[in-house]
Amino acid sequence: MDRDTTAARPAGGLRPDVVVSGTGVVSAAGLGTAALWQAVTERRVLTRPVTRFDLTGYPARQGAEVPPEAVAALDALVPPHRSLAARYLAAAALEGLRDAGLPARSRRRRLGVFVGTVMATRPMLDRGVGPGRLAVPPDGGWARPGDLLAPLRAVLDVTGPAVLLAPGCAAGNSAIAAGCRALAAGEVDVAVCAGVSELSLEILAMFTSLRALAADTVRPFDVDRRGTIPGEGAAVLVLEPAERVRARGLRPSARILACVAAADAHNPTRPHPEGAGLVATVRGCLERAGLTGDDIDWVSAHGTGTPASDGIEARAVARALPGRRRPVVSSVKGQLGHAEGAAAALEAVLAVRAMTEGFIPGNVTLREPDPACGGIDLVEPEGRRTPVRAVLNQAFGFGGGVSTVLLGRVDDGAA
Amino acid sequence: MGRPDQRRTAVPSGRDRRVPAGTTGVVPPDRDPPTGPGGGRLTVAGLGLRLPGVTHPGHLVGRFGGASAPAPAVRRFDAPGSDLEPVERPAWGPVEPRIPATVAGRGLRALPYESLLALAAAAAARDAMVAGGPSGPDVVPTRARPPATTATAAGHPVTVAPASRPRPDDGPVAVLWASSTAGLTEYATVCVEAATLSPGLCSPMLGPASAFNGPAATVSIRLGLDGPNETLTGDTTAGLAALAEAGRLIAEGSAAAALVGGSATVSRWSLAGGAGDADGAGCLALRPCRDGEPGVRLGRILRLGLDPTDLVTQVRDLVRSRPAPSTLPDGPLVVSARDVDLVDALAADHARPVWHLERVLGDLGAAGGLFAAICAVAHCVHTPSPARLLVLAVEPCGNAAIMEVSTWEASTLSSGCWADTSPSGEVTAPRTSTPTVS
Repeated sequence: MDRDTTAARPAGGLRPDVVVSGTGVVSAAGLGTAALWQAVTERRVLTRPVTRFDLTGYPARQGAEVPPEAVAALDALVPPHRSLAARYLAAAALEGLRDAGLPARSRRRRLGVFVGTVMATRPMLDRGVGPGRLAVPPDGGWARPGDLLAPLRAVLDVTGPAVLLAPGCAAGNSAIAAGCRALAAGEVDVAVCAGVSELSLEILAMFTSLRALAADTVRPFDVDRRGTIPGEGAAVLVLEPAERVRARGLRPSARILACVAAADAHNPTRPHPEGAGLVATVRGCLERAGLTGDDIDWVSAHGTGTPASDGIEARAVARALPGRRRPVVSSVKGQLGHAEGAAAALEAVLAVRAMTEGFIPGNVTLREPDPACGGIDLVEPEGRRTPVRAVLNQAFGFGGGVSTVLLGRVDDGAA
Repeated sequence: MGRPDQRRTAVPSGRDRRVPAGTTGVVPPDRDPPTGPGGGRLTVAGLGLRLPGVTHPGHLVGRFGGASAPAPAVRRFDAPGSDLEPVERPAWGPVEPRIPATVAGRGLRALPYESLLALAAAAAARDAMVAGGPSGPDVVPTRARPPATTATAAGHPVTVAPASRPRPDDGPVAVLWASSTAGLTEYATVCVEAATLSPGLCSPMLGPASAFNGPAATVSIRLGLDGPNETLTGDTTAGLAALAEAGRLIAEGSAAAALVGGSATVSRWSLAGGAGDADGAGCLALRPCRDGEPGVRLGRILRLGLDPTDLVTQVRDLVRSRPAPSTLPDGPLVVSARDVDLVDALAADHARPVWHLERVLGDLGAAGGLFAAICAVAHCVHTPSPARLLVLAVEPCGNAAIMEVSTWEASTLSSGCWADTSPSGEVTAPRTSTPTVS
């Protein structure tokens, strides 16, 4: 049962040409967008045994942690804070603004921040988990999600709105969409859009109780997939109107062609069996951008590696993107784990790089495609070198919220 | 409404009202505000509310403008399995969810308390929007000169629904929710269980409910709303930001209408974290309005980051510059802020009364701005003459938002919100505390 959902494209063509002018990343690959892209293209799997918590007795003990040396390197970049997520966010924002050629400090422009998160600062509470008792950290920041922005505010001037979005694991795409809307409305000149997450013992305990963790490796779309592995990090996309970037003599990295959100309205933990929300958002993106399924060069899948979700996603994508060729799909979660609040933003940054580099990351951990994930063209582990003009970045999560962002390449002469 | 097989591309009446680029900044509202929170003009089509002791909009208005507000009851809070000692302290609440009978009852008992409160408020607002016609809800506050009225069996006036009331096939309904406490108790309980139980023995029910999006997800799933589903968190501006995002989603055609709510629950965990001391949920049903259509309207929201080192001066300037001289607000300034000194400074400066939300309803965290908007709507409904007032939310870090709420011609708000009079599925909720001394 398909939904015809395509809420029409914005009326009147008044939406400005919103582009990506800079990116910033803190990930399991270390600090920086370049480090992430290098790890992805070198096919490195960044999940490994967790060192931050004592997981003795847990059946699955893997995570994709930001390396200790990268955490230490944050000291030279951002103020101290008990929330690692808050520090990741600030560092990624600084890189994004630097990449965009914008100073971090200025009250003469309207700069807004739109940040997607799942747990915000709550993982600070995990540090009190000890034998037989929870020792509650005294400062209480774990209960105040707004504290997530404290280090960021210390390093840049936020003169526009500061919006924290927590819709589940689609959070990064929700932040990009909110930033686009703010730009379209003329509310801000610069939108710092981010997703952020900190590896959490609570998340590990939750997925353990749900039996949703892979003990060794995340294998999206593989017949032998056993579950996901939590990750962490932050990713920032700096969005601006194209003409503003052009006025600085710079070339944008990518365009945001459409952002569409929907809800499965089905179940707190299970996606709609026909991927109703995902189908709705994919079709909505195509309609708004005036594209067809054949125009999409890469579907950056949510692809968590859980047995139920990947099959639903594959079938939904195949149905939503009919055309002469099967949709080209891969998930980077085999390498990065599932960074929850940061995941969609990390994947959006990779989508930008895929377009600028002409390379589609592969399903690095894929060994045997699951026939239940048929109807799509799963990218081989080594990836594909090919022109990439349009990428669908899709995300969904517990609660049924779905958010898809369509990114487009900036063609020569257009910028 | 908005079931998957019913969804159609629809053109809300306000869709083509675009916001000209560069129109933010301090924009003086016209007599008839040109745009709503996100671009298109929005009217309030329904209101759902679950607050302790509030059974009528007049009660809410009266708490600010009339008799002194009742003091919160002393309640006991504990957090077993942690090193937090039990405490007894004043806190607003608890409030009975009283789920409307229009909501299927199966499985409700498994929902977290805050999600139940949210569902009750959202269902009441939804019901008021959808069934606001002659067969509408049993309590409908109306103001002078409604366009047409009939009467229920109980004799309450019921406003005839405006012509553009969304129907089930109008298009998707968005859900936007503001909360900083949703999932907090569940998150902390998983941490306790991780400390006290063997790995893998944590309750599988708790984890998925331990994020902020439980209320929005519950509303979407239980009411079958498949439009955009967003949760906003942080501090008090989040509720007004939710209204702004809803306005934009409606203006761009992503939704035909929206349920925009906020909720908060007090627990030993929220008290330990300084994250709120009140229970409650509220929801506004919003839809585009047409030229000349009577009702309660939301004006454009201005969101901005002020310099926290000079907050009082900047907020004063913001409030002074917001209205045009010919359209001065004639109602109170409704403020959600934790900074009492800031609010006192505004009260000294403002010609009209200042309603301080936290002083009367408690600290509702990220839902504060939304509740401030609800108080303004209640004022519009309760005031016999056309009203115009400002809603302001300010955070210590400088994050601020301001919005105008006004009545155009006559209020036509339908409401199914008042907890003690709504039909109820008789669902009781687990409470996070035990009342001790009243």
